Amino acid sequence: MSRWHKKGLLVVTILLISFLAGCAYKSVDKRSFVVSVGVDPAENDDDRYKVTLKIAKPIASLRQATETEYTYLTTEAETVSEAIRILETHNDKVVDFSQAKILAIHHELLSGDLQLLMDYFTRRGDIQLIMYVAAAKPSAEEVLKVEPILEAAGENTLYNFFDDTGTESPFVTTSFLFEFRRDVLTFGKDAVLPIVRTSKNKDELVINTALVIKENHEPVDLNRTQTKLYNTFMEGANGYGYQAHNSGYIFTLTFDRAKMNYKLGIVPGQTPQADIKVKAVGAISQSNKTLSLNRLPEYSEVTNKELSKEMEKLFKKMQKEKVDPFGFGLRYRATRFHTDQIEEDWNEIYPDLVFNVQSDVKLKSLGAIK
Amino acid sequence: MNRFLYYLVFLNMMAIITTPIPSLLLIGAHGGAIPTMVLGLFTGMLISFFFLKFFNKFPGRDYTELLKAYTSNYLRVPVTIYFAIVWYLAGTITLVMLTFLLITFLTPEMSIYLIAISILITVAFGVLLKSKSVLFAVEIIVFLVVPIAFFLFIKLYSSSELDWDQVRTSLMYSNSVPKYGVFTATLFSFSGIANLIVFNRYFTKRNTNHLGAVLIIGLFGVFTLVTTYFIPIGLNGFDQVDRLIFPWTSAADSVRMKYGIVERAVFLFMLFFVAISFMSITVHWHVSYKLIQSLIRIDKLQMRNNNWTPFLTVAVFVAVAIYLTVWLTQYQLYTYSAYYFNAIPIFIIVWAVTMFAVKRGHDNEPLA
Repeated sequence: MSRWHKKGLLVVTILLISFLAGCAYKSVDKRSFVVSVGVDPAENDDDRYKVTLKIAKPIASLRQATETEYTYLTTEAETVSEAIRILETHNDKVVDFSQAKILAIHHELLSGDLQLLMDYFTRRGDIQLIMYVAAAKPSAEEVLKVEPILEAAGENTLYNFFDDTGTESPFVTTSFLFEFRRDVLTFGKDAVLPIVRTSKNKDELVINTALVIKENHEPVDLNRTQTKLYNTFMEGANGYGYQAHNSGYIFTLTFDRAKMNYKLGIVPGQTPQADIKVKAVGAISQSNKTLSLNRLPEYSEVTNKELSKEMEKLFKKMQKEKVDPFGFGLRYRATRFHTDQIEEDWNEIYPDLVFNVQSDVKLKSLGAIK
Repeated sequence: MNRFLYYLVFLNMMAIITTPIPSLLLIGAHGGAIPTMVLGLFTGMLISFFFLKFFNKFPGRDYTELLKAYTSNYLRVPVTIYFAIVWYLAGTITLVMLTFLLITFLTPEMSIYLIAISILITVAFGVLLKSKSVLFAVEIIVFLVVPIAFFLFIKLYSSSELDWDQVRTSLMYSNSVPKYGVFTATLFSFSGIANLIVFNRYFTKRNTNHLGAVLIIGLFGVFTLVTTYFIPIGLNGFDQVDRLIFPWTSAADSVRMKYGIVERAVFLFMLFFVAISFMSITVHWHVSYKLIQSLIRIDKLQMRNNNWTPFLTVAVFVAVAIYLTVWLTQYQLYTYSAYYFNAIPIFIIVWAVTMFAVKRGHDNEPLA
């Protein structure tokens, strides 16, 4: 570069600096960070949704703060986005969704039109798709307003429940926003959402059941055992809490690894079959009788019978309720070339599907005593 | 200099993720996208083979030089202008898409002018570099980005939420009729090799192993196409995948690093693809700029020892790009870039015709 070029460049650079009037980003103290969003049906007849935003209050330092401080904004409107627009006028700071990680939806809203409800959250690019979605009982507002006693400063209890860094219980279903959207929109697989309930005196959150969601269909409740089985074999959850009552034994088991494989045997003219193989490796963590090490295979067998029975019960219940959280329909579509009537075919096959559950539990240890 | 060829091809393939190509591919997901991509893959490899073979005949000489030596001005001028426009638009599509990506996901409150200008300042400097420096810059970017890309791809493929049944379902649609739009979009991902029309000047050694090179390019292609196509399907579901406007960003946003410094992998993805697309815009525009330089040199812009035509060219590039970025809507971007990709066969025909002309000229008077 010659001297002229350099001088020219310098002038251009100086001119450009004068355009830099400020940062495009609004600084942190001008933002209010939404940590959770709750949607309830409106109480007012003119409106449709009641939206609650849980906003974290800024604290100077974690050491000074004794407990977390949140504030709540609530309003009602015809749509979710309108409600959020209104809430922006209740607040002097920019409402920032980049930290929003919980979407709690009132359980009754999940049977209605999901498109209008969910559209805003998936359409906005700055709302993360790895947000956790949960069904709330008795209402989203009440669930969000619970501030459990064990919650430390700067913490959010619901995050710890779902993100696998705190508690890892097989009773807690985790459902991300993208997963929920995907499964609701997929023919042949239905979404499962955890139900978050408040305890009686509203100072605790309880998550141990789930809800199967299908569009334009009543949500189907999963009880505690069913939720646990679903989480273990579909989501890869494991840990304590498996019960086996059989042949006079009462066991509590811990699973280290668990998985499920299935094959569909569907031949025209024959009864459609689903051959399901359930595998788990674990240990006994409680028993009502004295046990002996050389009889471990027998204990495994006792567990197998129990587990097969429970799984079959769960599959049959889902079949009866016409929902499919295990994705048998999707597997059907994934194993044959597409035709135009494949979806109708599956709707005819599913009610007749016979489940052959074969469980293979390998108990490896009795713990510390016999 | 052989490795630079692969960098150019690799860069172009990676950069398709920040163009409308993934969503153009996924629009065909319910009708023949997979057979079309296979067809496109082989065609792309075949064309790469001819490109390599042609330029290998003339080591160290770029295309404009060859046109000057062996063809008349009546052919050279319009063809050069046409090529310059094709390359300029390739860069511009990436630029507009990148701006839209940033405004949707990263900085929704920032003005579109500011985003476009902040990209363009860096790109403008890159365009004005020597061709050799551009190649070195490509090498640096590839080396910085490959580890992040590798990490991100492992994260995506190993994500426990990736539903392989969705992927298998999409495979079950491969008995449908191929689609033209998908075909041309696939071809574009192989167009990195066409940058040789300028960079061949630095490829001075003859290389005889074309088949090996084409095979490596084909492998890159298979990997990129499989990743671009199936990852969004596996994470965001097959049935409505054509409704996603930025399928790749949505896919990256669906991956979580539990104990990472940032939990959302999408920010890592942004870092990676902003670097890739910066470099891709720079390379495309640099080729276009070099083509224009071979045609125009305005004497009035001569100041002492320097001619300011290059600066004027780049200023025009930047001005047009800003105008387009602000003016285009998402719909227009997708429709017009589909037109652009659909016109790629015309480009290949024009290129083949000139290639034959140059070859015949060379056979008649090999020393020109």
